[in-house]
Amino acid sequence: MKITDLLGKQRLIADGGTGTWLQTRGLVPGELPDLWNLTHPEELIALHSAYIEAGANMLTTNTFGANPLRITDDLEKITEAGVLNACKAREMSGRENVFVGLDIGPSGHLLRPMGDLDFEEAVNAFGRVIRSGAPYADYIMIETMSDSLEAKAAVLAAKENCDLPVFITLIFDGSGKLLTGGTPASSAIMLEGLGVDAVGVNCGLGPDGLLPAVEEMLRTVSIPVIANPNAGLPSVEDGRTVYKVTPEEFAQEMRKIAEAGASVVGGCCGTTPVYIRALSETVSSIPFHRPSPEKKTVLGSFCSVLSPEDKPLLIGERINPTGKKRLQEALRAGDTDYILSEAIRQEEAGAQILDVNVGLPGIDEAGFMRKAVTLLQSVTTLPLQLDSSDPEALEAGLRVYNGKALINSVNGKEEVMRSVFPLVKKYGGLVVALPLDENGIPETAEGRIAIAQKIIARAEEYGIPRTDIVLDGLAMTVSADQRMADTALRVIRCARKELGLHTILGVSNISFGLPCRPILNGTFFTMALTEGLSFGIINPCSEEMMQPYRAFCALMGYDRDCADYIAYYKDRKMTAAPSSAPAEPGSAAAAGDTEAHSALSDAILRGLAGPAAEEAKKLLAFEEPMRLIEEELVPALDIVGRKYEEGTLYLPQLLRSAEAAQAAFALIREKIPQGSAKKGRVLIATVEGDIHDIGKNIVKVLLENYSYDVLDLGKDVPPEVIAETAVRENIKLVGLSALMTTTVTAMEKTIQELRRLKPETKIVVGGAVLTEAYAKTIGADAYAKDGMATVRYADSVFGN
Amino acid sequence: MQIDRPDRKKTRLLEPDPKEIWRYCGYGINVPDEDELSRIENTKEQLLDAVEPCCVWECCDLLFGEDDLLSFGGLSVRSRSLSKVLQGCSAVIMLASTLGLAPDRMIARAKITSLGTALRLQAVSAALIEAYLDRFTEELRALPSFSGTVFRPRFSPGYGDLPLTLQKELLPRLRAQQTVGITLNDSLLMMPSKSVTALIGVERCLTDTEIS
Repeated sequence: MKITDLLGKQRLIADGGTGTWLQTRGLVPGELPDLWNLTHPEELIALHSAYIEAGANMLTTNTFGANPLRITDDLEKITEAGVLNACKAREMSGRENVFVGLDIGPSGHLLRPMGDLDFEEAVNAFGRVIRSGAPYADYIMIETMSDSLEAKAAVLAAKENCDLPVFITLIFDGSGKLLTGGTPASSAIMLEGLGVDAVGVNCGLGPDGLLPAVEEMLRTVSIPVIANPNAGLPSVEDGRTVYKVTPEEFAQEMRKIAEAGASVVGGCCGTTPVYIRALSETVSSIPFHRPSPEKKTVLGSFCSVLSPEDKPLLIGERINPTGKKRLQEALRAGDTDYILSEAIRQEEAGAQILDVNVGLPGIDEAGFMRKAVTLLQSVTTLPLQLDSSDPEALEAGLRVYNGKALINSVNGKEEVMRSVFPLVKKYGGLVVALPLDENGIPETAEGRIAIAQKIIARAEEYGIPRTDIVLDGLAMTVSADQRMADTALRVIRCARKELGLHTILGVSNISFGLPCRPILNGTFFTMALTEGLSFGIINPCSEEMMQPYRAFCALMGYDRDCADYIAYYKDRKMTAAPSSAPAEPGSAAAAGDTEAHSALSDAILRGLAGPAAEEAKKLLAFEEPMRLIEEELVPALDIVGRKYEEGTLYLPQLLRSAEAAQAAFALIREKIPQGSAKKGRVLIATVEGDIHDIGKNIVKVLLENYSYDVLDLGKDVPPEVIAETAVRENIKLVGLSALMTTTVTAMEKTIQELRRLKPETKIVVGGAVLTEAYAKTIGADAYAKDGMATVRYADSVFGN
Repeated sequence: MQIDRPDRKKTRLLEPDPKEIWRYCGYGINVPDEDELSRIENTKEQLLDAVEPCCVWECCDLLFGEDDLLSFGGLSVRSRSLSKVLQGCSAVIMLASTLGLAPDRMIARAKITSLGTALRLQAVSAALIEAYLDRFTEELRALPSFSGTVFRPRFSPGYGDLPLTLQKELLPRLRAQQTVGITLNDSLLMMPSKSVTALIGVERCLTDTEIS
């Protein structure tokens, strides 16, 4: 009998806490319980036996802390012993329907980019434990995960290292969220997409506290749900942590969870065999049922769930290098900050999903996709559409995507379906289906629908339901064939009504080659929305696209009480040409007086980014860009810099002025021929082990304002990467930042590596824990107490 | 161990020290201009709506050994600085607290859009965790179980000669990851970054009888 023969068909009883019990047997606070697998196996066998006696079907092994990041000696032995101890107890009991789960606890580290643990390193660490214990276990029990990305790493490790069923439970706080912000719904849909056999909650709270999370999961996913709460909240009596909820109270509270439809019920901290016996006896009289919520088309980020069944959704299209010179430059230079700024800009403009396409000849698309997805998830909570024709790039992004992504795309070609569907199956996601095949794009709606049906049928062979398929109507330009708009709209209409599929369109494709494209795009968008379009790929920063969307939502009731429409438009006036968002209150433009801050320098001195950009734009119509830099930007910055150094102006003001100069510079640089106007190139980085980078970023902004080209390697950068980059890029000046006493040693190593590989490079260092004297001790050429000092040093190095 | 987790209403009552904020912003002992004060106020409001302060703590007996060896809650550490601070105490409160990941997320985003905002977020959230701990310590002190005691000032790993490496034992001892979501990276940096671990010495006051 396998556990999957019973799971979801009858209620299973999981065991309870381990640490609580072992403490009564002599485990001292702070001692790692896992070590007892080798030193006190009889205690573990006794514990497992007691749980079997109490009625538990599922035993979790004493391997919660077994992870190579925590245990370096005898990890495999400890893990194996943990599983074998549980197997021994089962054997001794002679009972049937008792299953042993290899317990996998969290690694103790937070994953990048918020933490320092690399995703693949986490997968490998979990994988090592799983390979040791899985041969003897019946299932994998991943538990107490407080970060959905780490949960994903553990699930992938399980799937890639064994064939056992995978169960996973997460720990939510009192507000119903994971440490990293996930909700029961957002994490459950991601985990269901990864193919886990059961999902649920454990630890943190007692049964009543966890009931809402359990119910939310039961409403969201159709796989079995597990609930292993604590015995209430802990308190301290006579120096010992105790859980005041009695076994009977615990069991009574668990009734509600059993009645709600949880397939597995058990306990966590504070629970012992007595609790599990009470639980088992209490729930035995409750008939088992398992809710099966209707399957919906959903996608999500790490903390949100979206569905086009609630309203049509907007996908921001700006992170796509096609026709975008600035983005292409950023991709070639590895400038992720520009990509992140475009993401934030689109989010603020109203996009609900962001397209991520980093395909450009000559760059490592898979590597960049991985990096972009990782970083985007640190600055936006929006779900992402991973957009690539390269399955390797899609997989790179899907692997680190924290949620359920939109995957663009698959089509009717056999080769493409064979390469994309396995990725959708393995990682989960909504997949965009393009109705084209080896014969090209059908000209008729009927032809496209036929291909769609073929794609749906093939997807079902992979176990991918049609609710996870989104059909692209294929908007093609009417300038080539005027039937194309009507064809696309008919596909949309038919997909929804006859195939039950949600739909998507790259809206602006409809007008390629025609003048005044926004007029056509906006009109076509409205028409498509009326036909039931689910996802529109548009530029959310274009008012011509956002107007029809807002109006449609208000008119059709998706925008309840027209609240969003009113909030957005109440202070705006109708103009002949749609204008962009109103200027900030207090700025010259808002006052209608464009002359009030006419001097570019004045705007920079006053730290007004909006007016600085406006003024630069006006001046560029008739001034040479280099003149603006040399005679306006730099002198203004010099005044600001001097005042800062004199102590009459402070860092926030310096930053505002620097940002105003940057806003102007962003426009000026577009007019400058590539490669010119740079005073020199500086490499900057925060050293290995250190993730503080605000100071470094301030230095970068100031150096760029002073016309230096800055190669920013980011934070937590190993010495060899800095040194090798300096050699490869022939860097004359390196700036290193460290903010912790524990990381200045990495700074010293970096300097040694640089001296070894490129001794002529000058090195300037900075950071809160550094001093002039210490900088000399570790071999730096200079110490800069702040960003301005770094600029002055750069001037001295480059002879400016 | 016990966990403190104020709700949103109570969190919104936190009052970070403005002078600390100004200092973290680089103003030293000077006062920012009106504009900057207004920006700081906005930042504070955003953070008060987003942070989720919490603290796990446990009070343990304290034993003094030779050569400044201190033992409490199953942990042992040698520290002259801490010994001085704890002189006369019979117990020590170990605590680990955090504002959650919200400040880190907000700072990560602000680093892209506006470094000035990032700087303000950093400054205000640093002052906010101290404000939370100050209030929490007062509440702890007012508990019946601590009646008749005096608390020493908070002392954290990294202060004086108390090694930062103590974090590696203190955090697991308090089950900080499971209880309040604090992890430690290889450079001994806590995440979320607005987290504090500390030891508070508890000195039992002499009763009048004992004094006479």
